[in-house]
Amino acid sequence: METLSFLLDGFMVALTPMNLVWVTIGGFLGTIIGMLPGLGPATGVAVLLPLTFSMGPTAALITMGGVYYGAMYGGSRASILINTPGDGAAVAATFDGYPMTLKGRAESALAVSAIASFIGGVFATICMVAIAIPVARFALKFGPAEYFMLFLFALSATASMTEGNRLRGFIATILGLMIATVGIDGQSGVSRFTMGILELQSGIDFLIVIIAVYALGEVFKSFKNIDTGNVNVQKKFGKIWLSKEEWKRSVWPILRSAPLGFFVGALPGAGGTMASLMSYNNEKQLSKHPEEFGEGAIEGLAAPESANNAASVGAMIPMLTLGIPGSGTTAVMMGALLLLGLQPGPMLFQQQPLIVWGLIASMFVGNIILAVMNIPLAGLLVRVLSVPPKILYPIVLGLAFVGAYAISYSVMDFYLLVLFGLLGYFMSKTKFPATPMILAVIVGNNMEQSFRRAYKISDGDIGIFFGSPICLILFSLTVVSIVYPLAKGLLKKKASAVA
Amino acid sequence: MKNEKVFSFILTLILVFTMGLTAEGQKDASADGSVRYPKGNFDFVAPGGAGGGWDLTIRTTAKVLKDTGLVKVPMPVRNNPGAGGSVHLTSLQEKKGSDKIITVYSSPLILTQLNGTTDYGYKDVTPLACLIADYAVFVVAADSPYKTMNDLLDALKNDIKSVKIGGASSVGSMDHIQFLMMAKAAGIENLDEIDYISFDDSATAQVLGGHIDMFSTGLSEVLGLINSGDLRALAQSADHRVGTGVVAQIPSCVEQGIDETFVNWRGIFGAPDMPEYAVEYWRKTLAEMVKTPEWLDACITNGWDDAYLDAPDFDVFLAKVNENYKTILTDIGMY
Amino acid sequence: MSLSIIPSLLCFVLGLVYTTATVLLPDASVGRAYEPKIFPMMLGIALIILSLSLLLRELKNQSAGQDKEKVSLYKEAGFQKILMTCLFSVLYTLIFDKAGYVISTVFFLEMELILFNGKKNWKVNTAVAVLFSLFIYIVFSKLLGVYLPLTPGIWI
Repeated sequence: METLSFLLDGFMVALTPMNLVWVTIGGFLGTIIGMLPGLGPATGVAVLLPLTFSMGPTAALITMGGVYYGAMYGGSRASILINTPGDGAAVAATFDGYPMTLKGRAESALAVSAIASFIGGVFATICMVAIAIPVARFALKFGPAEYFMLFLFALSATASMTEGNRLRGFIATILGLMIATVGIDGQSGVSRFTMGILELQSGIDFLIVIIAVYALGEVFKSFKNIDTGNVNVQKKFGKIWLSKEEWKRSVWPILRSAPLGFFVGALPGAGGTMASLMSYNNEKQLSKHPEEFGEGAIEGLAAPESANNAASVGAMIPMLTLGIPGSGTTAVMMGALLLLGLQPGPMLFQQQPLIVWGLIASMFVGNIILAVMNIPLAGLLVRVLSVPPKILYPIVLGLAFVGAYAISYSVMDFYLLVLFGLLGYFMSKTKFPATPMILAVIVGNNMEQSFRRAYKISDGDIGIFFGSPICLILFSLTVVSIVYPLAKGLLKKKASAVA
Repeated sequence: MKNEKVFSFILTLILVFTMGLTAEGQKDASADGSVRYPKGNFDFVAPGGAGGGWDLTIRTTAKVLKDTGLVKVPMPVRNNPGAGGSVHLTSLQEKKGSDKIITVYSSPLILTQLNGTTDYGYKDVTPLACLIADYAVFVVAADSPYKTMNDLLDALKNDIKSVKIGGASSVGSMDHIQFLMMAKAAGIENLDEIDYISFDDSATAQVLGGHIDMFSTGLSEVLGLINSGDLRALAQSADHRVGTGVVAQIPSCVEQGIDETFVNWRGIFGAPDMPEYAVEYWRKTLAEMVKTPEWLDACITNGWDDAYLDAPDFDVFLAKVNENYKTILTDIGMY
Repeated sequence: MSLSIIPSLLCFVLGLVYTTATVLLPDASVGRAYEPKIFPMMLGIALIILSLSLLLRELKNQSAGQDKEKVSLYKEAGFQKILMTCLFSVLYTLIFDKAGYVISTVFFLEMELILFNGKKNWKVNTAVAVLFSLFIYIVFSKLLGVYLPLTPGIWI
């Protein structure tokens, strides 16, 4: 009951006209920033940081919150329309979102993305009100060994999902992990595989690899169609909405993915990318027609969109309850709290209840405003598809390069961009799946470091990886994720042999 | 093919054009004599990611300078993270003589050169002023068996592998070195055998969850959790008590018989070979800034200790610190 | 050679090179000396094993006559344009810092638009290249504070 009265106070704060204006502005700017490649929520919040100085702490936090989920809404727009994800969390939206666009169903894709984001965000905010503290305490149980097993599970599930050829999926995973080993090793200070290049010492930024493989890879592939004159431009646009059938197929995936995303988001260091990919894998396992995944299955877009917005809410939990940033974006927001003279941590709820509950209430308000704003905005954006590809693709290239520059301010990354663009192109030519590689690049460093931390803590005893119930559960899931598709394949073979 | 000829023609044209521009630009930059300064935007750079200590310091500096009206031109802050600040340090070497770039560094400026991450060090930037000091603090979970710094050090002496130390920086960098300095002062000799586990940014959660025994960090990083009682501070590294309330009750290492201090200074630097007029301007401006109430307030909320040093003193200080760190890194075989 | 054999061979070679490079890594001076090598070693060996099994499977498929698809990449439509794009990207990288964002991007886009849209449409191409570069410059540098390199001597 006490919580509810706090929440009510929070709504009083969030619904003041000025704060409503701020969350709308923040959400709008966030959506725009999220659409630009290379600029994700973290950059968005950092860029707007100086503007928030002149506001009070509550208004500042609410504005930054708006930017954060605005960027999550916006991030998937470019994934769906031009196959160019703006950040890691938007990668999963390319899997089925872009095929939907190619099939002329961009309107449904944009609609389901906004609706799923909305439901995911609101659901996670309700969870946050109800169980923030226990979730934060539970997340502390994740030590290095647990993280390693979590990453292992996510990788094996993604790799063994690869249609047709699991072996290629695992090879792609290994390649991604290798890319992630470049740079200074945090546990020993030894610099590895950098070939003496200073810029490589801090590793290869996974965003560069994502932009290269998806955007440049797509441009490279398009030359073939341009040369053969085999291109089509969408001229007619429908309403941004879902048919009954589409809604029926999406609703359960959305509802299932929200709690998953919320929890994974609350783990410091796991984040939206892991959440959206895990929910994608999950839905593909559960689906009655997994063969449609990757070809424009609407569930395959609805699930990760719901999960990544839920994760962005979940990521606020460690920041607000413990003063531990759970993601790049919350790290920036925490910096902002300090600049505003607030001390994030367990005392924040007690010392500044109005600020915290105002922020939580604004998450409800912000998600509603964003959903309402995004439907007409999508109606405008979808017109991008009426630009002829011969003009659109050079622009995608231009965006890819400026995005890469915005990540590190270094032209060194341009060479990496071209290299990985070519790699992406050849991989798709030779039927190697890109997704397992991308996920491996994203989690690779964390995964190895978790392994090494656990190894040091246990003095080299491998038993630590099976030492807790969480580890054992994750390990069983890993085994199932590898064995289940194999067994299913064998059964099918048997069945067809009998018949 | 005809196509290619046209390409190469256009290409040459553009290249020639840009070369011309570049040459002209360089002439323009070396303006002489009486310069109007500051002119146009400054370029404030945090060599680490947004939300980190460097980021917070330079953004606070920019905010105070703007709020007090000491600097009237815009001071946008950007981040240029990578390799413990070394990426930015290297890119600064290409901006020799710039009067626009203002940046912040702390102990890693010296450590990254000593441990071989980069060839550049404190001599390759222009020190303008040391601003603040933060101190190391060694924290354990509230239910930890270690009550004092000596409990923990004794356990290490009995079995060097029995205590797992975590920190946010990589091996051979600040969080690691600050603890080794204490361990050395307490008489532990096999420093290189102490298990130090580097967590990028999540070590707070790890010590709370009991996955590591002790977290070596900066005082300002864990203020909230010390105040709430979730973490217990065994010791801090200043030569005096710092802060107020619960923080003021944390004993220093010196009080516990460990005769060593560690100061994480943070200072403002310019590009190498910064012009004389710019150095003068910033020395004067920063000297005024540290006296403003706005700055003093910011120091209190962030738990920073005032450690203002003007450029010449700062230079001497840096040379001294450099020697101290060298000794420790030699002990663990990283120098 | 069949299309599917080359990549598995390449992966095999990469596995060997990577494993060798891992062995040659310097020892860690703190903690256990071999620690930085554990994980890369596992990756290297895994890649060697996986690429070998893929190679064997492809060879088996080939002799069974299942996989007859033969493609030479460089003959495929558009491949030369891919190479041209890479070349332009390298040039773009070289002049990016010196010439400033706007000028170098106009050049790069102009070249790419010739590849995609043809020389004949140079008016459209130039308009797109100039407008895009200016738009991005203003949005990033002026509105968002993400600073792109300036052209020396000009305000932009």
